[in-house]
Amino acid sequence: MAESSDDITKLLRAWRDGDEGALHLLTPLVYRELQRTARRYLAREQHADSWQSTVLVNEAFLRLVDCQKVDWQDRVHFFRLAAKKMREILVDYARKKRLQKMGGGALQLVPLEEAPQVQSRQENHVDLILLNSALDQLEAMDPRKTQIVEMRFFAGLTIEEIAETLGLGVSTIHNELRLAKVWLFRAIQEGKIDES
Amino acid sequence: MNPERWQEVQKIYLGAVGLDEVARTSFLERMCSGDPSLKQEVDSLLSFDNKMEGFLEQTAVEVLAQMYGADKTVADTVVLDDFIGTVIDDRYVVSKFIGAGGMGDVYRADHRLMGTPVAIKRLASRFRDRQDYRQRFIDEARHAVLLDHENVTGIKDVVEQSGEVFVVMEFIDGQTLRTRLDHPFGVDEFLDIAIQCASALTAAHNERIVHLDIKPANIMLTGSQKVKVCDFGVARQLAATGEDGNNGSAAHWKLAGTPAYMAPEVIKGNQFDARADIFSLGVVFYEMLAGKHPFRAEDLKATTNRIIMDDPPPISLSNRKLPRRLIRLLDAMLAKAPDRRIGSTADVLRELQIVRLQHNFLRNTWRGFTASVKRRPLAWAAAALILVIAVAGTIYFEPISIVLRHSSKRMMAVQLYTQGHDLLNEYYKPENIDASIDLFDRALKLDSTYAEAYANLGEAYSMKYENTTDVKLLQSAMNACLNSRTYDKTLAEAHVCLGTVAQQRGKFEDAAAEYKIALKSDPNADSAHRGLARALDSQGKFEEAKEQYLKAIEKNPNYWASHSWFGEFYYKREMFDDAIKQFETASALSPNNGRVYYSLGTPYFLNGQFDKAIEYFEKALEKQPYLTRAANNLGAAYFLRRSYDKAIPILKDAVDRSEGSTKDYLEAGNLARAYFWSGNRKDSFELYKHAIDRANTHLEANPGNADDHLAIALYNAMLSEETRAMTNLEIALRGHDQDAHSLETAAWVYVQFKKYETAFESLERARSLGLKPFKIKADPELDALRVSDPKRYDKLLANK
Repeated sequence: MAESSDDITKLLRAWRDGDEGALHLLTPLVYRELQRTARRYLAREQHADSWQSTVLVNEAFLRLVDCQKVDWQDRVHFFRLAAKKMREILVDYARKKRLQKMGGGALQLVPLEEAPQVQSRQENHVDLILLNSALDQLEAMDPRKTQIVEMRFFAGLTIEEIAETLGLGVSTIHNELRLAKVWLFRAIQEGKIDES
Repeated sequence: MNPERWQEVQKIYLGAVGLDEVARTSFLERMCSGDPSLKQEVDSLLSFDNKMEGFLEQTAVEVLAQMYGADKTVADTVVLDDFIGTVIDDRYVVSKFIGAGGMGDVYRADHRLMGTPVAIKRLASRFRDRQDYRQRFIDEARHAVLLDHENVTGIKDVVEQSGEVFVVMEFIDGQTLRTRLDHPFGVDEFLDIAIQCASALTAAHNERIVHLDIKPANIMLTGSQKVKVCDFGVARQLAATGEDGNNGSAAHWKLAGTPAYMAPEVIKGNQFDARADIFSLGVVFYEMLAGKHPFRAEDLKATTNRIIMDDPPPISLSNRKLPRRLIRLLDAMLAKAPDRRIGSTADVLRELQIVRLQHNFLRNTWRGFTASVKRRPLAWAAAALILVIAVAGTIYFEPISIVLRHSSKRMMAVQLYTQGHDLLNEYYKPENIDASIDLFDRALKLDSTYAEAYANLGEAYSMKYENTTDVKLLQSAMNACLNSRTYDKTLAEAHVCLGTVAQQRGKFEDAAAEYKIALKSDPNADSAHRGLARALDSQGKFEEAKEQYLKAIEKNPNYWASHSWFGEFYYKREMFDDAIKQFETASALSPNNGRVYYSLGTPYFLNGQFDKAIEYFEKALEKQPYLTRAANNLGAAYFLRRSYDKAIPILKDAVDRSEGSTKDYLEAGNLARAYFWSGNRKDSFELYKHAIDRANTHLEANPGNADDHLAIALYNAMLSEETRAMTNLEIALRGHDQDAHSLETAAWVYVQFKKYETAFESLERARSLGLKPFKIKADPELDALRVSDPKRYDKLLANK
């Protein structure tokens, strides 16, 4: 399997040119690097402003590819893939943390007082698991909004970067994000979303 | 919400969100005038706009870091990569994490060579080196394997690799019921899904497996509305001796399902058994019909309190259009105490089926009723009153418990009959005919005077006879029809049944008479119109037959068979455009019907459009690989292109598969023909002899069948048996000398004995009757004519 940044760059290009087989080989590599990046961030002590530049997928991108050889198009494709994968990784993390909190997961009835939904409604903490399900629903109706939320919220791209990646204007992204947020917020508040 | 609507909502929302209250109100009124639901949707979104401060303002890692702090154990939680990209069992490449269940993680993997997806479950990392969990993981898979049910996610394999155990499962491509719960379900759609869920759980409970985590997220719906109940991960098998989930070893398996769907006894940690699943399923059913969870409260604790303490709000408040019996069933499923709950999922399933029967019955009756009222209003007013009282009686006053415990034989017989009847409507699949025979037999065991069941049994036997040569089946069909008439001599179905048998015996006048009797008792019986049409068609009464087909379609426009028969009617007259129209309608109504694709291919074939024909024949074989005639014609299409090498294997296959079908001699004859022209005379002659034997067998059941005689004539001709060939030909042409196909085949026979003059005459007549020139050109048998008299041959082909 390809490991060097050179190989990854080639795979990325092959995928961009329509080779779906390249995506099969590329995904596990990107996934692995994103997990490493996520781990570093999550293990870090929190400082007041240390989260300002959490552009996770940018970091992974720089680590993975040979920057001399990739162009803007490669970056676009990478971000699309990476944002989706980052969502999987972080939602997975949230699920597992919650299981730990529920007492190692399996062998006891959940103490209801500690149930996750209760706690997650405090302080505007987003329940990532509910958000994930809501995003699935939104995607069925409006895939572009889901993608924008993935890029902003999970991958940490700025509005400008998202606009550049998707080839859209900054104000369009602002509007899209605003609509996506209110739709998701309502879906979660009205309790129609169940974790899946 | 559809995309156009959503676009509209967005446009108005963005226009309104920046305005002050006054401007906003008038803006909304202007933009949404006459569309209150549009305004409601925009208002609803706007009302959340100022409440969502801070929502999604931080990134996900920030949120997680604040919730859990700097996570020194993150290495255990975000498990690096070790699995994605792994190859399991040398075949499956793990590509994606799908989700985490109680004990394990589920990944998607793709078959390395075939690309088909599977789901792979592995034990969660914290349990991986514990022998007891590992054993339990294997045990669970072993139990789940027992569950071979179409509505349960199937287990394909258990693989041990590098000291780890993996369960390979069916990958379900679909949505969860959860994502579909954004609106209440209609009764039909609900019943369709609910029946499949209940059926899956009944199968599980029969194996003594309790699911224990039934919830919308664990119920998958595939694109074709098939239900797959998944994640028997929490499930366990009850001890064979113990009745409950709290005996000795089970005690420490107490484990979290999803609290919002848990039965009260499970929440309280009391004894539980399979009835816990009934409660959970009841919550799901309620949510589907009401569009909201019956016990949902502000948080989980309040929700579980309500599950234990409160009755659900009456569902009629949310959904006014529910059958009473269904409401009672929901109440019976949601009883707090297991002892007061409906006893088993099998009972739930039966109730749902009864609800469906009544629902369909009422709907159909109402339709028929409104139609009749228009004709005879006064008589119906009185009848309607009686009907309403009667229906209200059964539905309102029948206590559910009585029906459950003493469910009458008659009701069960009706269910079996209904299932059989539904299957028989899709008789294009031979296995459906067999299954329906079995169901009718069972219904008749419960109720030996059930006239409808006898009539349908007779129909089923007739259809089976059409697929085989077994004359005994025709006798069985006859007996069943006569029984039906004995128990109800005014029953339309009984006479339709008798008509069908008469038709198959070649007694077309008798058949027509029976169908007419049927129509007297039930003028709306589309099956009687359809049968009468065929009987008239067989008597050569074109216009009358056509009229009857149109009536059959008018009475029941959505039944594929009427269109298909009508198409065949046109097809036989080589009115291909009309035929294709009917076949296309039939295939739209019955998309998995290989027979209809076969029918669609045939007119193209006869037009000489072999490519299009080959496409449809291949589609037919894709839907029903055993469809002999499609394979046969596919071979013929290749044959007429004179690519014998391509044709022979297909035709050979067709012969093997046609063994035992009514006209299997046609397949043998075709293969013999291909051998003959490819130069293999030895095999050819042997097969022609065999074909003659088979055709004679068919003649015994149906003496005087012109097609059979025609085929025998041709086969004898190819064997140079002149006397026999001419005798059969004469019988075949008797009364059919105006039939282009018969005349064309006759020409082949004449050419074989070098009677070119007669052959030309025969073909010239056939041409004047509509025989297409391409046929003459394509058939190698007729090549000799071109050599004998090129001028006359060209003239024959010239368009008139």
